[in-house]
Parts: sequence; structure tokens; C-alpha cells
Amino acid sequence: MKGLTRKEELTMLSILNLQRNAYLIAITDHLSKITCKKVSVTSVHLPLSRLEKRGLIESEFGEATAVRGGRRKRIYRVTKIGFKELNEYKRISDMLWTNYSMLSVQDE
Amino acid sequence: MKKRNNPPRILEVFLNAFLSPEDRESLLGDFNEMYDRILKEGGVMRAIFWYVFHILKLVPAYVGNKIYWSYEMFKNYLKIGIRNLKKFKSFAFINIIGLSVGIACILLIVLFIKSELSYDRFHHKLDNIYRLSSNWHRPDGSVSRHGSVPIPTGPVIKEYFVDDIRFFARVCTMEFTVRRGDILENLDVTLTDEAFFKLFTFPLLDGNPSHVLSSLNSVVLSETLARRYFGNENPLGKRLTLIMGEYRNDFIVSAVAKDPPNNSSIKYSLLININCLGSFRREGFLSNWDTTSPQWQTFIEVMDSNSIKRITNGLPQFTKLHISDEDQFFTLQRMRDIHFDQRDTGTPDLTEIYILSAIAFFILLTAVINFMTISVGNASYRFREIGIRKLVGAVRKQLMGQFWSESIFITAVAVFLAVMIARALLPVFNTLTTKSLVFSDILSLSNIAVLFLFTMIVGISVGSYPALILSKFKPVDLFKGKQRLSGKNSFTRILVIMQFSLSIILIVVVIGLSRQIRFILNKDYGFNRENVIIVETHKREVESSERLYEKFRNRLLNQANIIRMSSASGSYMRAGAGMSNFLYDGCSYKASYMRVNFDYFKTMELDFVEGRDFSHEMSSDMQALVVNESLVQTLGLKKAVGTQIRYNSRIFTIIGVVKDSHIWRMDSQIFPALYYINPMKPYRYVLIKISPHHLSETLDRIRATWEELEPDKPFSWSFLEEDIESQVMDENRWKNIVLYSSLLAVFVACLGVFGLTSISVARRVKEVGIRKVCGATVANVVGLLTREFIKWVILANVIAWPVGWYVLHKWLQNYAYKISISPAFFMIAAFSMVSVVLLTTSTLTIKAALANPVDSLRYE
Repeated sequence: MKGLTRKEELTMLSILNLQRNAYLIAITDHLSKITCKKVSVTSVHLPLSRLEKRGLIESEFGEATAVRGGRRKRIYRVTKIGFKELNEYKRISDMLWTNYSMLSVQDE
Repeated sequence: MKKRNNPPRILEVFLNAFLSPEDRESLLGDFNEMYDRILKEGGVMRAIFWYVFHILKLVPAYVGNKIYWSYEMFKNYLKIGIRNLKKFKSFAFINIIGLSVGIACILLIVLFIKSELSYDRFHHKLDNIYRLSSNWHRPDGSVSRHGSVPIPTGPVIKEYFVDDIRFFARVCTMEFTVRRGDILENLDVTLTDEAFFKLFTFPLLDGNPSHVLSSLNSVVLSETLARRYFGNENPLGKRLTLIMGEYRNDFIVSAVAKDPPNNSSIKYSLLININCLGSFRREGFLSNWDTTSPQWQTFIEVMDSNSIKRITNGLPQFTKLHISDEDQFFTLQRMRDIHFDQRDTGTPDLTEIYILSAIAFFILLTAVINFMTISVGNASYRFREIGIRKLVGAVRKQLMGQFWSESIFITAVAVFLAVMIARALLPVFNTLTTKSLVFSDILSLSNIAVLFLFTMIVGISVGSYPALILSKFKPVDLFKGKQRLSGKNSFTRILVIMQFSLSIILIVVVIGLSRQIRFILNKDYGFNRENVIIVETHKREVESSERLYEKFRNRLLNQANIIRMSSASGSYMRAGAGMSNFLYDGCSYKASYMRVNFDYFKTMELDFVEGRDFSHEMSSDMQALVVNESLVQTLGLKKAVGTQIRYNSRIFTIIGVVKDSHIWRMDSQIFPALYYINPMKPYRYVLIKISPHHLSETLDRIRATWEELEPDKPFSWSFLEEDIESQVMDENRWKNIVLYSSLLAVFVACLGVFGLTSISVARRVKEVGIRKVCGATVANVVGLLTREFIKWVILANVIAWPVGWYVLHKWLQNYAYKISISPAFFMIAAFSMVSVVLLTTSTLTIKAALANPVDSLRYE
């Protein structure tokens, strides 16, 4: 299985954070807030469609608002496979961090 | 309430077009939201800018995608299309050949029409140039017109309407003998006025248009003629000699003009000032108000559009001043119209254009119809393909695109072939239409653009059936074999019957035309045309022509094989035709007249009904007339001989009556005619009756004698029979046009019949097998398969006969002497059509009938 890019990983994590309100613009806003950087909508849409194609996330239509011209949102949700994949990434990086902190402790 | 800030509608429409259907809604919503946010932060301009920027970012990918997938689909269509062509080779052949023949016809016609319509359009002053024409009230109330006025009209009318006419130019052609160095030839010389080159747009290679013809002895040559006479030398200032009769005059070349374009009504090769006729002792010609001739035209350039009204209003007054004949009046004719005035120029007129284009259009229509009937008949083979495509997800639009691209592809191939065919047929076409079109005309840029458009139109129309009907069917019906093409039978039937009808009409017309031609040629003219030679004397002066004739006669008559000689002022289909008035019993009558020499009636073998021939012994015969039977009838004479008639202000006595004969032309009734002897005027033609033995020897001897007597004059001669044949030139041309068109029409129709037969044979294989098993003979089966076509042909005959009859009837009304339309024409046409259809279908039907039923039935 192909791995996740950093962007994809962050996008999926944002979806998890946002819970039931994870649509394109909310995700973008969330990412900008977390990273303190300007994130463009386009740069989020691309990983989203890639992830959806791979089956790591899925989507359904949400509510429509006036500001959207009466159009429904596409709400994303992380699938089981996606969640497993994310956990795998977390496990690996946790392990690496743990190893590192143990080494630092020894150095001191 | 919160104000909604929606992006401009137009931008949304754009964005909408670029997005894929499943993303459309949510993304548009997202875009709206972002737009709203940016608008609140940075204002409308920024928001719109952001929106547009994102749309533009989508364009390259979108376009790339579109092109890629269209290309992929096109590759598939092309492959399937070519496979289908290969699978049904005979149909592909029929479609492509049929279409290309049809298109080739259209190509040639378009070329022809373009050249016709471009006639005389190159004159800069086209709209201000008018031609004066003479009109006569006929006794029956109609008006006859020809585009000529008496020679003196030009300068006089210019004086009369001095404020309204800027220039005038008479354009007359007259035959002169031209001598330049060793070259001696007869040439049609154009006599005109100074203003010729100012009035018309005929560029001079050098020389000032206003002066080149101002001197009476200057001559302007066409480029071709200049090259012929002077080679590479500079012709300016060189001399050449023009000879007319006894008179000759030297001329100095003052300019060389470009050759007149092919599409010019006015042709010239050598131009001189008309006023120089004095040097040829023809001053009378310039002041003769009594005569007009198609070779003498007068053009004027009017000042402006108001002038034309004033001139038109003033013309009757002007005519009255100069013309004594009360029935005659002048009118103006626009320069742009004169090419289509067939009465003067003898060029193809608009009717001819209409007829030719109708025929070409019908041939193309036939080919298109064939294409459609074949695709209808063949459609069932493609049901599965269409079904699969629909199942896989093709929408109707795509299927239509596929069928249309297929038919456009085939049409493109056909157009390519058509250009080749047109190129091959061009020489034939040129002879038929007496044009000189060249192939490069076909390939001009505008024509290629037109061809492209044409390909699209024809392609779309021939593919319309499969594209519109086949794409409609439901896949399930297609697979189940439920789908039947309903209503196609009557459609096909009508189409095929139309093709047959057209072919039959053309065949009937061809038969009628050739019968009439044969009738004209074989009719009893009243004289014996065989072995009579006409020699032109080129003499305008009495004394010399008499002397020449006497010398000629004395030398020739005692030689073997020369039976008789005479001379006359005119001859069949040649100059000298004229009508004149004579007085009898105080009343005026019209008659055609001919001055003849002794022995004329013997040479022509015209039989006397009454009285006697002119005789050398009777000096009173100078005042004597021989008349024809019509004249006697017209005057109601009981005893013609001895009757006195006043003609040319002299009294003549009738001494003999000859049988009626066609002395000028066949297309009019025989008029009353009078023959007289008048040695005071020159005889234009020498008639020699020779014996049919040793023809070439006799001819050589006559030529040798001529050259000995008249070294200055070319020996121009013809057989009387040839002159008679020349009158049906036009008819022959038409016969050939219709003949070729009918061949093409029959050919294309046969292609269609062949295609239809092969479809119906393929469809009825099993039926034929069962019939054979049950005991049907080969003849039965062939009959079964052809019966339908024969029925169609018969129906087509019923439609075509009245039309054919009407066309022939209309055309024959032009002739005073004509064949009656016989049922045989129609029978022959019907018979030939039936046999052609039988022949075309026979290979297929006989093959089907001979096939072993085991082969066709073994799958059941």
C-alpha cells in the first residue's frame, strides 16, 4: 500500500478534529489555524480527492446554507481503513519519538 | 438579515461547465463561501479576481482532457468505420463512386456557372456602359430585338445627348485579309472608335488609351497576334497591310493590348479605327441607316444614373429623326446583361445554366439517396454495435457523432475522387459547353473552402438517416432483434422511382434530340446538296468578281469531274440572307431574295415547275425573275410566268417558277423567294458541282487553279453538305450534354439498384433456400427477386413519360419543321431502362438462385 504524504496525513487528522463539520473550507481553515500558515483551498482539494479515490476517506452531502447559494456541503469522514492507516503512521512516529527521548535521557 | 454575496452568475456558469458532474454541487458551494469571505475581507474586486483566477487555472486541464478523449473516441470511430467499409466492400464502392460522380458533376457545373457569371464583370465602368439595340414590332404583336443599331448611330447619338453620353464606341467585326511579311491570312478585324480603350477595361501593354486609335492608319494588336506577326521584335511602329477586295492599305502598329479575357463578350485580335473604311472605298457603310447586323454593336458610356433616364426618354424622338421604318425603335441594354442575350452572342444562356445545374443536382441527389437507402438496408448489421455502444454508456449524441463522422469521412474520400474525375472530364465538358475552363480554376482557395463546406453538408445529409434514426433505438430491442425499420419501404421506393424517372426522362430527350437532328439533316431541302463545293470569292467589286468567275469557270469547266459551275450572292447557312419588299398590284410583299448567275438552278438541281431558267441568249433576262412556289401562292397567281413585279424600283418579269427550297436556314418556314440576275453587283460565292469520283484530285485541281488566279487570297471553301451540318451544331452539343448526363444518371441509378438488390438478396437467402427446396426453378427465383424492381421501373416510366413528352414538345416548338413525338421514343427508353436494371441485378439474383439451398438453410 502506498503511504501517506504529510499533507494527506494532516488533512485526515483535521477531518478527525472537525468531526461532523469536515467540508473543504472548514478543513482549509482548520489547517491554516493549526499550522499558522496560509493554506489555499486548491491545495486541500487535491489530497481530498486523492484520498477519497484510495478509499481512506468517504464523503456525503451535508446541509446547505444561504452563503453557499443553497448548495450542499460535501462532508468528509475517515473510513476504517483510513483510520487504521493513520494509526499506523502515529504508531511509527510515536515509536521513533519514544526512542529518541530515551536516547536523550541516557545522554544526560 | 445577513446579506448574501453571490458571485456573478456568468462566472458560475463558466465554472459549472468545467467541473465534473459529481463535484459540481459541493464545489460550487465551496466557491460561493470562499467568494463571500474574500469579499468581506478585501472587497468585490479581489473576490472576483480570485474567482476568475481559479476558473482560468481549470482551463488547461479541461481542454487537455477533452482533446484526449475526443481523440480516443475518434480513433475508435475511424477504426470501426474503416472496418465497416472493408466488410461491405461493394457498398463502400457504390457509395464512394456514386457520390464522387455526383460531386464531380456539381464541381463542373459550379465552375461553369462561375465563369458564366463573371462575364464582362472586369470592366471598371460596367454599370455605366450600355449597348444600343434595335427592336422591331412584329405583325403578331411581339417584338424582335437584336443588339445592334445602324452604323451611323454612334456619333449621331453622342451629339444628340451631348450632356449625357461621355463616350461611344462602335464595335464591328469585318473580315480582312492581313499581310505581314510572309503571313497572309483572313482575320476578323475589329473596327471601333477612338474611345474603345477608355470605355472598356482592356489594358494596353504600352501606349496611351486616349490616342492609340486616333489616327486613321494606326492599328492595335492583341498580345497573341503581336507575337505571331512580330515574334520578339518590338511591334510598335511596324507596318502591316490590310486588304479588302481590290483595296489595300498600310497600317502602323500604335499599341499592343492584352488579350481579351476568356470571359469577355467583346473579343478582338486586331483593332482599327472604323473611320478608315474610306480607304477601302466603303464610305457608304458609315452612313447606311438601313442595315443592322449582329456583328455591329454600339456601346455608350453614360455620365451618371440620371442620364440613363433622359436618354431612355429621348430615344423615341431620336429614332424618329433618323429611322424611317415605323416598326423599328431603339433601346438600351446594360453591359452586364449582354452575355446572357443569346439572340446576339450564341453563347449559353441562363436556361442552359438552369438545366445543367438541375441535372447535376439530380445526379448528386441520386447518389445521396443511394447512400441513404444502402445505409437503411444495411443498418441491421450494425444493430449489435449500436447496442453494445449504448450499453457501455454511449449517449445518443455520441452515436450521432459517430455516424456523422463516418459519413463525412466517406464524403471526404468521394470529394477527393470527384476532383480527380472532374479533372478527367474537363476536356469533354469544355467541348460540350464550348468553354475553355482550366483545372486550376477548381483548386482556387475559395473553391477549396467551398469544397470543405460542401463535404460537411453532403456528409451530414447522407449520414442523417443512421445518425438520427439508428441512434434512437433501445439496446434491448436491438439485441432481441425486435427492432424493425418501419416505413422504410415506401421511403426507399420513392427514392428509387425518382432515380429511374430522371434517367428515363433524359433517355427520352436524347432520343428525341437525335431524331430531330437526323430529321434536319436528311430533310429534302429542295436542292441537291451532294458534291457541291462553295468557294468564297472575297470580292466586293463587280468587275473583278465577274472576271474572276469567268476565268475560274473557263479553266475548270473543261476539266474532268467538274460538272457545272455557277455563282450566287448567298449560300446555305452563310452570309447573304436577306428579306426585301417588292410591289405587286399596288401591294407590298416581303420575300427573301438571291442574286444568282446563269446555271444556278442546274448546279443546285432545283427543278422548274413552270417556265424556264435564265438564259445567255435573252438579253431581257436582266429584268427577269425566277420565283418559288410559295411566292406564286402568296400572290395567288394563276399563271405566274409573265407576271410583272416591282422590286428595287425596277420592273421585273417572272420567267419561271422553281420548287420551294430552303435557301438559308431550316428553322424557319419557307418564305416567298425571288431569284434574279444582276451582274452589276459582286457574287460572293462560287458553286461547283463535281463528280464524286477522284474527289481529292478534283479538289487539288480547284485549289491550284484558285492559287494561280488569286495568289493574294486564301482559298476558303467547304462542301455544301458541311454547311448544312453546321446548322445542327447547337443541337448536337445539346444532344451530347443530355447523352452524357443520362449516362451518368443511369450509372448512378444502377449503382443504387445494385446495392439494393444485394441487400434484398442477402435478406432473403433463407426464403430462396426454402423456395428451392419446395421446387422453385432458377427462373422463378430470379423473377421473384427482380419483380419488385421491374415494378418500380414501370411506375417510373409512368411518371417520366409525361415529363419527357413535355420537355421534347417545348423544345420542338423552336422548329418550323419537326418530327412528331412518337411512342417509340418512350418504348425504347422504357425497354433500355428495364434491360439495364435486369443486367445490373442479374449477376446477384442468378447467383442467389443457383446457390445450393443446403448452404443457406443448414443453420436452421
